[in-house]
Order: sequence, then structure tokens, then C-alpha cells
Amino acid sequence: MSAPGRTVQSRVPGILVATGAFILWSLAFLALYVAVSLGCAWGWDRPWDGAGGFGLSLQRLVALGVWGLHLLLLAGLLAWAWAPGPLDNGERQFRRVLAIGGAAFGLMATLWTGLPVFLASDCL
Amino acid sequence: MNALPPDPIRRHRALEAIWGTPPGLGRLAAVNHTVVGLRFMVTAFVFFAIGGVLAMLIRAQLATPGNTFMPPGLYNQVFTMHGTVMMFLFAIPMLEGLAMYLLPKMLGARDLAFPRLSAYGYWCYLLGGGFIILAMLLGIAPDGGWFMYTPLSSSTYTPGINADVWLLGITFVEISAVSAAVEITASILKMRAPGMSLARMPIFAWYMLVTAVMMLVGFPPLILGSILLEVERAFGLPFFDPTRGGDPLLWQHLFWLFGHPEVYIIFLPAAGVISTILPVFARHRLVGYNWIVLALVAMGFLSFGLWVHHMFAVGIPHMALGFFSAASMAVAIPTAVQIFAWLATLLKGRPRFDLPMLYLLGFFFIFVNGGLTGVMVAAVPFDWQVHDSYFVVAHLHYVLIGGFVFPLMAGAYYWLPHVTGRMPIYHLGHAAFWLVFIGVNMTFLLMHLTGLLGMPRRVYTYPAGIGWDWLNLLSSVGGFLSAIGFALFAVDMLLLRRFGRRAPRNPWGAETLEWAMPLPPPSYNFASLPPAESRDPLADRPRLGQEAAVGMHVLGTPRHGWMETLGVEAVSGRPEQVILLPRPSFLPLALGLATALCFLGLLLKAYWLTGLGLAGVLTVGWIWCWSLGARRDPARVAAGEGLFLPLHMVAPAQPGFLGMGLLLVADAAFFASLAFGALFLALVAPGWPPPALLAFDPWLSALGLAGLLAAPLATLLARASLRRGGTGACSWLMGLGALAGLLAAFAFAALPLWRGQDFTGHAYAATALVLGLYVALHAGLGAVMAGFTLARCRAGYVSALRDLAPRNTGLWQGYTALSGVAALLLLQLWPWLAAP
Amino acid sequence: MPAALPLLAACSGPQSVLDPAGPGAAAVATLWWVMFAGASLILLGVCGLALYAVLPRRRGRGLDAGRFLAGGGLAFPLAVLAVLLVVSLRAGEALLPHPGPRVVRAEGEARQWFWTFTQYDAAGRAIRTTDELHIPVGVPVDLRLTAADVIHSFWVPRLAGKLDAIPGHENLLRLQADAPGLYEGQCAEFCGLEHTRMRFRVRAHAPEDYAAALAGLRLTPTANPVPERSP
Repeated sequence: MSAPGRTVQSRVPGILVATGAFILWSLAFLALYVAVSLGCAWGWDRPWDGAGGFGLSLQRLVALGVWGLHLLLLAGLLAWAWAPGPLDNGERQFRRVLAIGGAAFGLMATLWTGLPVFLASDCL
Repeated sequence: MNALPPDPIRRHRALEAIWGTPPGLGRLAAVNHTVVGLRFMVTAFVFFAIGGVLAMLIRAQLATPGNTFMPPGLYNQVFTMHGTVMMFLFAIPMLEGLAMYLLPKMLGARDLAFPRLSAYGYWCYLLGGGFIILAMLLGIAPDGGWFMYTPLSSSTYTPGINADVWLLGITFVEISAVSAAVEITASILKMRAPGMSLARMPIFAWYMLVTAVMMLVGFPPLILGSILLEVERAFGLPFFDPTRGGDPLLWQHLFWLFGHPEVYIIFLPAAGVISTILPVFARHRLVGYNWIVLALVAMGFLSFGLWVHHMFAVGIPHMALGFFSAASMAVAIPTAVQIFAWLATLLKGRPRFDLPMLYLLGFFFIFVNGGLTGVMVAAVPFDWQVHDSYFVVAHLHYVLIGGFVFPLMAGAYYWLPHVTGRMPIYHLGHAAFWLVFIGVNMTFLLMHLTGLLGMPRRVYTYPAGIGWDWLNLLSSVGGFLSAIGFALFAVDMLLLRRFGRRAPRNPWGAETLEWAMPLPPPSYNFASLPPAESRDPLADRPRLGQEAAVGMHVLGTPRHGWMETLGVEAVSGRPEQVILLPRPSFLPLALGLATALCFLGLLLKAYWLTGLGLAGVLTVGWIWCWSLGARRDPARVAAGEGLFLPLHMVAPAQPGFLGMGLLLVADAAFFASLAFGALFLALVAPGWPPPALLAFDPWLSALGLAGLLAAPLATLLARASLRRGGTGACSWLMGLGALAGLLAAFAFAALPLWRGQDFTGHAYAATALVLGLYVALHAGLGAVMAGFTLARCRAGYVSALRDLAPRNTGLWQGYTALSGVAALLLLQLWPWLAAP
Repeated sequence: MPAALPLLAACSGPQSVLDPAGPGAAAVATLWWVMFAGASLILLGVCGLALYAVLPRRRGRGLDAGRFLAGGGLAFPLAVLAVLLVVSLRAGEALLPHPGPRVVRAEGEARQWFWTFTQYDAAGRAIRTTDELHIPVGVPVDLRLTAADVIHSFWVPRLAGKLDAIPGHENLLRLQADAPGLYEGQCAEFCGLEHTRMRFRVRAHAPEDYAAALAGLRLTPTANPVPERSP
């Protein structure tokens, strides 16, 4: 390496390292809320023929899609943050901890806030 | 840097002459962060006392069933004012003051980034708060609850001036919150001790950084809601009126979009106080610094996903409630991380049992209790029962008293020697603790049961025999006990300030930089700025304070009467620039008075007064901005310890630029809330689609768009020509930008107005008007800024290096163009949403 | 909250959430007792730990901080909250007005400061009453809530949770009573000067008496008049 100790992560602005995962969580949360609200306004909550007989409504499918997409993105982010980096220097270690911890927490939070998709009625 | 011999007394006199606040009437010109921070805190404490008296009136009224102590109209004013005063005039300003007082000292700086802005914020707070209290004394206080739900607060059901006092007074006060948020964020990011990287920042600064960013995003929805409601009340434009395409639920969304983050905005600084004090008394450094930083960032985000849990009973679909319920429970996790980090610090240390520790233990009990009931009300079906009952009153007081008041009382005793130079003596402090602790629990623990027995909030009395009598009586007794306790605390503070024994330097053996100075602190904080080589600078070098006093470190030599402090690179803390701060000035007071005139005119519906105020604001603003800067590129200056740094006006990353960026973050949050409101109305409000759509003139749209895009382009070209060395092209290009801005302003103002529409008939037209005016106002202000830059160019204040004015103007115009394009798109697509 | 334990005897009352008289309120009361027990234990644990930590002679200085934080700050609350989230969403689901064959419908319109209820007899004729809703026992009743002026909230704690009546919106609240009787309710959303006085009742009748009760209401002129007040 030309610059010893430089990792992929160290080229990303610090503010994104710390907050990227949470921004994704916010997007997931907002998208889920908007999807449910739009679906109820537009009548997507009836069982939908395209669901292949699972009796799912278009709305629940959209919500699942939104949720799954963000989970994938966050899993990717976590894998990226996990890329090996040096733990020698205080600054870089701090960045790495923020990146890994943030991604893990963001993934967990997104998984968590999406659970009602399975547990609750969509428009009642 | 050896112009002065290392004589601390002479250095002190020289620095004090530069940094001190002038005596007499000159105090009104004070901009020093120690002075302004203390003013904020003392004023906030006065408001706390007022809010406390109101609370006692409430408890007196409710002590017995069927009490006729207060008639319902008066009672409604009293409970509305209690909530309003405590939230807006006590908690928020108190944390702002605390941050202003402490941050520069902890970060190793001499002042905040924009001292005049904090002074202006203080005047807005004092004048706005004064308005509201004056209205109360005149018997026209707001009476619609601190949450001001529409339609009750609309002109139909609350025709008097009471609601206007709330909407305008609180908006006035919120100016100080937004300016403090900009100030605090910029200061934390740019103004720290040499070598203090983000990873080495004192934990309190992390808490305040997250809090300030949350304030930037959290307050604009409330400001928007207040403006819209005031416009509806004053001019009849419907936004919340369900009979004209508005929706009362929109108000609730906007209010709680602010209101829930607000709870964390109040809690986080207090938690920061705990994370600062607790390690000192545990005699062990804070366990889990990284964990806590992560938990803070997590809380900052999660807390914006909770607002609907105040609206579980308005009839939102269960799945959507589920998301908010889940997020409300999830936010308990970063809280638990902090609690366990504090417990671990205590367990690993050798705790010393001093008075602040007692308050911290009180915090643990009360706050954890409030947090647990918070998780309970996050459970949707349980909330359906206890929402708007006394259970929630109990919950929120446990959270706010436990999560804010107790930590601050611990902090008051901890920093008392810092502020006054006197050590606390503990007799009264113990008595005050036990009175408050027992009183608060007696009042609010029982209130959980009162709520479960079915007593709703905001009732001025209740019949006997429902089982609420003895509970309310005991709650009232507890309330008076805690009031006596708080009074004792205030007396104690005053007595200690007068009679406490002299405090030595760093009396608690703390390790953060605010203790590396003589007590009480001099106006300039540090005679030279000490380095931060770790998170606990005083642990590594206990004599850092003495070293700083003899000028061993950075910027130790006063010169030219400059108010110098260090600017660092935001992440690494590498010294980057020498920031020259502005001197004490009456401009903040003048601007505050002009702003007050604007609000007074709106309140009295004397719009010429508002016009006068606006003219005053623009004039003072112009003078204010004009008074800063330099007419030639200054050379690098020696900063001590071998550093040669540029002055801030020629540094590429000067705080002023960051400040503008942060202001635009708040502005973008405002615009996003407006766009959310427009979409929400189209989807949810009754009476949509609107009876008729506005016909937007394509020529006007094109003209507006062209003006919006041309303005930032002209500024870009002007900056390019500056870099090539000429200022002539800069002038006429900025003039062009100003013209383009005026054109855009005209087009966007005229866009919805063109055909003489009736804007009072439907929320669609009213919202379209607001969108158009938003862009027009921004384009117009952009034109003023371009004109200002033009004048600066001609007067020689602008060069390729001294480019703050053109850069900030360009940033503003760029943002205006973006928001204008978004507004145009929204205006075209939005009616379609209602009827796809 | 542990101090509240001796107060258990005082849990009954005409508006007590803890004295449920219908399946909806009963489910919430059960949820409360479970959460109360759990929260009390957690509160005792945390405060006990804090008090233990300030003892002069004790163990724990060699604590593994990372494990302590991961266990206490993450794993433990996550486990507790997961259970609570699933249980509370399940419970909430059971309280919703799911369509069903036996559901009785009724309407409630709120205005400052009274309720106008509409119930329907077997022939589908509307019977309007003021501040007293009549329902049959043992069957689910779906009350459609609207408001004529400002926001109000329908809350009869012994039967079900509250739901707001919002001008411009219609909300559906599921009510069910287990036994005949009079159940007290009170407006729970601040609605202006006389918010406090906005009290009302739900009278539950045995199924065999319900028709007679409604017929009686139709014949009683006092039950019908609705004071007309323009907002």
C-alpha cells in the first residue's frame, strides 16, 4: 500500500462513517411509513392476485420489499465496515468502531422497526 | 511569541482588557460566552420558578374534589402556561446556557464561534419570554394547552389574542434555539484545543453536538406549524381547518415531529452532565466512551421516529402505529447502554460520596422509573388506555425531572466553584435533596395510579367518590414539599455564592479542560490555549492550568487588541487558523428589539409596525455583517509553539461558512416539513381533491426558474473571476445575481397570485401560496445578499482568499434554486396524489 | 413503583382501567400487570446495582466492561423488548374492529361539550341519545366516532381504550361489555372551557332486554332531544 495503514473506509468523510447506517434506517422507516399510508389511501390493502395465492396484499408486499431492500443495503454496509483495518492508532480505531458499531446498530434497528409488517393489520 | 515576559498577572491584565465586558450600560453589549451563558441560565431559572408557582396553583386547585379555587378559564391558562414555560422558557434555554458556558472552556477555546449571535439569541429569548409572561399577567395568556391542538386553537374556537401570544411568542423564542444550535455545532466542530480530535473530545461535547444537530432539524417543524396556524388565524388561509381541505392532524404531526425529539434534546445535555460528573466522583474514567458516542448518534436518529406515539389514539392504521411503537421501544436500548456505562464506571471506580453523587443516585431512581413507564406507553394497546390520563403526566414528569432537573442540580453543585469560585457546604443541599426527592415521588408515583383509575389530564376539577380524592391530595402535598425543596436549593446557591469558602483550582480533581483555569474563570478562559493530548488532558498534565496561565501554549501573547482563538480541522483537531472574534457590541440588542417590533406588529395586527421592524432587521443585519472582515489579505501570524497560521478571513474552512451551511440544514428541515404537510393534506385530509386547480402561468414558471438558476451561476462566475485576480467582474456579476434573484422572487410571488385566486377557500391554494412565497422570500433575500456582496467587492472587502461573502451568497442561492425546483415539481405533481 | 404495591386494594373504581368489564379492557389490564411486575424488577435491579456500587467495601472492580455493556445495555433490553413488542402488537390486533357477523354498529358525534349517540333497533331505525350510549352485553359493538367542532376523545376505561373524535375524520372503536350495568366515561382530549364536564355513560343491557330498552328510548321523549348549538 502506498499509504500504510490507509483503508477503504478512511477515504469516506467521517460524518458518513458515523451516520450512514442511521441515515439508511431513517430512509427505511420513512419509506415503510409512507408505503403504508399511500397503500391505505389508494386501496392497496385488499388481497392481491399477483401474490401467488399467499393472500398477501399489495401493500404488505411493498412494505416487505422496502424493508428487505434496506436490510440488504445495511448488511452490505456492515460487511464493508468490517473490512480489515489497523487498530494501532486511536483516531482510526475510533472511526472503525463507529463504522462497525453504527452499521450493526442500524441493521438491528431496521430489522426491529420492520417487525410490525408481520404482526399488524395494515389499514385497520 | 515572547513580546511579554511570562508574568501571569501582566498577561491577565492585557487579556482582560481585550476580552472583558465593559461596565455600566456596556453590559448590554456583552457577547462573552461566560456572561451570555450565565444570563441564559439565570433567566431560565427565573422562568423555572414561575413555572413552579403555576404548578403549585394547579396542585392547589386539584387538592380536593369540586374545588372552586380557580374557574375553568383561568385553570386552562395556568396549565397551558405551566407546560409552555417549563418546556420553552426553562428547559431549552437552560441547556443552551449550560452549553454556551461550558463548551469553550471544556474544548480549550476562548469563546464560541459567533458570540454576537448568542447575544442576539439571548435577547430574543428574554423579549419573547417576557411577552408571554406579560400576557399572563394581563390575563390573556394562551389557554389551549402547550400543544395548541387545532381546531380548538383556531380563530373559530379561540377568537381572542391568547393563542396568538403563544404562536408568536414561542416562534420568537425559537429563534434563539435555532441560533444556539448553529452556534454550538459550529463551535464544537471548529473551535477546540490544538490536537483535540473528535475521538479526544470531552464526552459532554459529543452530547451537545448531537443535541445541537437535533435542534437544527427538530425545531423547524414547530416553527412551520406555528407560522401556518398564525396565518390561518390572522388571514384565514386554511391549513388545519377540516371544512376547507385542511386537517387538524397535520398540526399534530408537525407539533410532535418537533415535540418528541424535544424530549431527547432536553435529556441528552443532562445525560452529558452525568457522563461528565459521575466519573469524577467514581474516581474512574468513563467506561464505554465509544459505546456512548454510538448510542448518542443512534438516539439522535431514532428519536425522530417516535413522534406518532403521541398520536396512537387518533385512528392511524395499526401497522403504522407498530412502526412507531417499535421505534419507541428501540430507543430504550441506547438509553440502557448509557445507564450501564454509568453503572460500570461506578462499579469499577472507588466512588466518593459527595453531594452531587446524592443527586445522581436520585437521578437513577427517578429517571429509570420514567424510562420504564415510557416503554409501557410505547405498547400501543396500553397507551390507548393511559394516553391523556394522569399516568402520562406521571411518566413525563419522571422523565423530565429525573432526566433533566436532577442531573442539573448535581451539575449546579459540581460547577458552583467554577462559576463563583466558592466551594459548596452541604447542610442545605442535603435537606433540599431529600425534600425534592420525597416530594417528587410522592406527587408523581401516586399519579400513575390516579391515571389508571381513569382521571384524564387537563380537567380543572373532579367529583368525589371515584377514588381520586386521597391520591390528588397526597400529590398536592408532595408538590408543595418539592417546591420547598427547590426554594431551599435556590437559597443555598445564593448563600454559597456569598459565603462559601474560596475554591482552590480544580477542587474535585477533574480531568477536563474547564478546570485548567483560575476560578471564577477570566473572560478569556485560557491565557494560552493548552494542548489536548488525550481525552483527559489534566490527568496527563495536572499543571496544565498553570502552564496555560504563564503563556506556555498556543496564542499566549495578546496583540493588537485582537480577540484571538484557535480554529482546528474538524476531525483531527489539527490547528488550522487563528479566529479573530468580534468585540462587544450593541448590535445584537438592536437586532433583538427590531425583531421584537416585527412580532409585536403581528400580534397587535398593526402591520406597519412589522414593516418597520423588518426594515430595522435588514438595516441592523447589514451593519452587523459589514462590520466584520478585512480590506486586505492578512499574512500568516505566529500562534506560538512554532505554529504559523492564517487568520480566519483567509482560511478556507472558516466558521462563518459552516454556520451558513448549518442554517441551511435547518432551512431544509423547514422546507421538508412544508413538503410533508402538502403531501399529507393531499393524502389524508378530508375534502380533497380540491374543487379547482391553480393554473400556473408557464411563462412565469420559466422566468422564475431562469432567475433561480442564474443567480448562483453568476456567483460562481464571480468567484472564478476573483480567483483570476480581478474584483471588477465580481461586482457586475454579483449585480446580475441580485437582479436574477429579484426576478425569481417576483415570479414565485406572482406564480400563485397571478389570476387573483381565492386562497382562503381550500388548503390546496393556501399551501401553494406558502410554497411560492417560501421560494420568493429566499430569492429576495438572496438578492439582498448578492447586493451586499457587490458593495463589499466595491469597498475592497472581497478577494480570492477573503471570499466569505460570495461563498455564502452562492450557497444560499444554490439552496434557493434547489428548493425552488422542488417546489415547482411539487406544485405540478401534488394534486395528482389526491386522485390517482 | 414498588411502593404502589400496598395500593392494590384501591384498584377498583367506576373509571378504573384496572377494573375491566370487557374483553378489550381486560387484555390491557393483564398487559399492565405483566409490565408492572417486569418494570418493578428491572427498577429494583438497576437501583440496587447503583447503590451497591457506592458501597465502600464491595467486589466488582475487575468487571469486564465490554461484556457488562453488551449484556446489560444490549442483550437484556433487546430480549425484554422483543417479547413486549410481539405481545403488545398481538394484543392490539385483538382490540381492533375487525369485521364480523355479530358486530353491532352505533355512532357517536362529539361537540362542545356533549355526545350524541345513535343506536339502531332491529328494524334499523336510528335512536338518538345524549351522553348515554346503549349497547347489548356480550357482543362486539363498533362505535363510529366523529366530531362537529373540535377534537374530543371517547374513553370508557372499564370497557376499552380511548379513541379520538376528530372533525373531518371517522374513527371506529370496538367496545364490548361482559355484564349489564352502567359504565362511566369522560372526554380525554382537552376540548376547551368545559372539557372537565364532558362526562358520559355507556349502559349495557342483557341481550334479552336490549330491544325493550331501545323501544323504551324511542317512546321517551327526554332521551331524544339533542340541544342544537352552532359552533
